[in-house]
Amino acid sequence: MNVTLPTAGYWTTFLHPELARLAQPLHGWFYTISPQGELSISLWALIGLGLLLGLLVGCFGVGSGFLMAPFLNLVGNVPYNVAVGSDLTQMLGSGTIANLRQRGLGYVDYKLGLLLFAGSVFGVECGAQLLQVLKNAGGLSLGGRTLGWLELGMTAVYALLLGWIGLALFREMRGRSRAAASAAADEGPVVFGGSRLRTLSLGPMVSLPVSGVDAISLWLILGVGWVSGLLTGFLGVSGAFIRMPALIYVLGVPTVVSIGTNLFELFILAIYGTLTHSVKGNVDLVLVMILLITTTVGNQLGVVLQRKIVGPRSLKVYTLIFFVTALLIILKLIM
Amino acid sequence: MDFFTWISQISQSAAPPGQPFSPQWRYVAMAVVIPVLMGLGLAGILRVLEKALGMRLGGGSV
Repeated sequence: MNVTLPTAGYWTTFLHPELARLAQPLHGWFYTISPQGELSISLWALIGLGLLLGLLVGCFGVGSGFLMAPFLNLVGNVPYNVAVGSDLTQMLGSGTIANLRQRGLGYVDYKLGLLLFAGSVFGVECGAQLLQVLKNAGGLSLGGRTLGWLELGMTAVYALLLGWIGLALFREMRGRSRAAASAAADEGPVVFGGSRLRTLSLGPMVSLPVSGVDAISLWLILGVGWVSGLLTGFLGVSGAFIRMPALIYVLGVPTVVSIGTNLFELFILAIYGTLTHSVKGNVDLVLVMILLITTTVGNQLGVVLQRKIVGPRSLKVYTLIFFVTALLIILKLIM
Repeated sequence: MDFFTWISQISQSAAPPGQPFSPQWRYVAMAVVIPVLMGLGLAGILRVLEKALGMRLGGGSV
């Protein structure tokens, strides 16, 4: 059973005008492109993809969001701009669920959330505009083949990021096994380089009474917001893996406040991101609905199964997924 | 007209063929409304399931 994705089909034809000259439909493993430019993807493949990614988020959390857009491109040949825009839009639904479900678990510093949002809006717009530039940049002729700048640029960025995350996970795994092997491991206080930034006294300085921060540079808050917003606008990820440590270690916000504030900021940021990406035509509504339902179900499975399946062996498989995905997107580009 | 046909129609560019993509306002509005409504619905379902199963489930997939 195939499902037709209207917006993804539009951009597939826009980015690959040669497809309009096809006499026969083009068949991939899980997708079909008709001579009229309609992109149809196997519903079962999309359901499987959503469940898998939801499961990974539920089990392992950090990093899984980076897999969504490359997987959509690999499995369904969804153009990267639509994969990113749709991922961000389904995040608005996931953010709604997360805010409702975790209400009462943490305090929200609304002042900090709104200041972060001010920086994030700029970051999201920069990311979305960067995507827009790549989308409209055309292609590069290489050995008789035309490679789109969008595909080329996004493949390079995702391959580097996925490789980096895989490497970080591998190092952490190795560190854990070494620490386990040496019971007398020195567990001295961990010093984060970012915490030194807190002493920056570039005005204007603001106070955050809810977070217990007397004075902190406004530029630091805007900077944290900008970086996480850039990731959201350009890659469609929540940016929480940057924002949460930055809130705690750079801005000095207590963990209990950072959880609620992160979710609040994520929600308003997702609204803005959805608006700007939909205005640019990067959101496929059918894809969003399927992904939102399947990732939510997968997430529940992940939470339920976490204790049973998360261990050293599953961490190795998880790490391997990042390296294999990076390799596959490179192979898809060059083959 | 069923829901998915309507979604497909509002997802089309409002600009004539050959012109840059121009979104319909209903498409932009639905991009915000649909996930929020679905999020509210799914959160409600999870709450009901939690009560029925007597166990704590996860949050959204973020």
